[in-house]
Amino acid sequence: MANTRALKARVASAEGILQITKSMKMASAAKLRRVQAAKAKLGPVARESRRLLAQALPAEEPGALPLLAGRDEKKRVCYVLLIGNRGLCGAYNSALVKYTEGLLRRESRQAEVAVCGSWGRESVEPVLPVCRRFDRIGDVPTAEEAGELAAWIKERYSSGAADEIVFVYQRYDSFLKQTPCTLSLLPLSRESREGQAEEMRIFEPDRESVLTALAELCVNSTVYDLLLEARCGEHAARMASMTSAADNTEELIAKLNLALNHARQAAVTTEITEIAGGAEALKELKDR
Amino acid sequence: MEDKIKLSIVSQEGDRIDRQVSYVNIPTAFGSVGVLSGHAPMLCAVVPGVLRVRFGQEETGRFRVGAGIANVEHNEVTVLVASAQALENE
Repeated sequence: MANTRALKARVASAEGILQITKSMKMASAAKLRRVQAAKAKLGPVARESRRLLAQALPAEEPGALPLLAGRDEKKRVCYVLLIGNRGLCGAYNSALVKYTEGLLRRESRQAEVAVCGSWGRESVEPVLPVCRRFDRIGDVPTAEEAGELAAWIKERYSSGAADEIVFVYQRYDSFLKQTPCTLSLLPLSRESREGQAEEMRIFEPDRESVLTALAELCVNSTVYDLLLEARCGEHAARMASMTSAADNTEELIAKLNLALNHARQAAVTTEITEIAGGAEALKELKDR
Repeated sequence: MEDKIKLSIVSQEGDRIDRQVSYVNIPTAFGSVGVLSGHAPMLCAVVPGVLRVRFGQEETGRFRVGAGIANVEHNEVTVLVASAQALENE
């Protein structure tokens, strides 16, 4: 009965896998909800600060602020790659790395990559020019972690080590669809001015510090917003892949159970045939 | 009461405070700035400190705020800050 025993062992291990995939799905669902809640709360700050910045800064004055002033020569670009913290989420991470590789191939300027997320050190570092890693950004990022990243980015830009900062991340289109895309954060782009002409405004204590504070807030909230969006995608992708893994395991268990029943039935049939054959032989012996 | 202003404090951490107040005192780099009803449009850089408000004649409130920006427009004060937290009154 070696066959039955082997099948039983396989059913048991498949059941273990089912349990793991199901609980990972639950954990991702909970994290996704928390990230989405944080994103919804941050939304008003990000939107309002961008609107105010667009309003307060006349388009004809590009050099008013270091973070806003574009440089004539963009020699060096720093890509900030927002990757997942773990695998087991389908093609989420590998698609992003591939996309970044493509970007770098087409890039004529000197490029470097800062990686945020602890996934796949050994698969990222050989293919991308990594200059900095942020490994300790949690599954549900906090404003503090985002602030740390934002501070590094601002320092990188204002010290002249990079002339442009571009985020590379998976845009969260829906639960089932995330698309790799880029967003140029620095120099801050000016959105189209909304409607009415600039009215007279008081700046307190002065215009420069107001603009600096606005730009800071704008960069910080955008960085946090992007981090949350990337994590949303990661958790959603993990949920989706764990759901299909659990479904596949259930199917496998059903198949194995069927095979197990077949094997058991075959064993029973053989036994009965043997007993009947034996009884028949005994009867013949008696009759003789 | 007509001389009320609408105050909203919104922080990056997600806290949101919406109140009708009669007076707001905003901490800035060169001391604090007071805002009463009918104030001219103003943008104000907020430094980490304590933001004071008066709800009515007597009632007051205090909030510890982080760095950010305050926008005064149409009798509305919108304060966007890194963090905000209500404090007990003295």
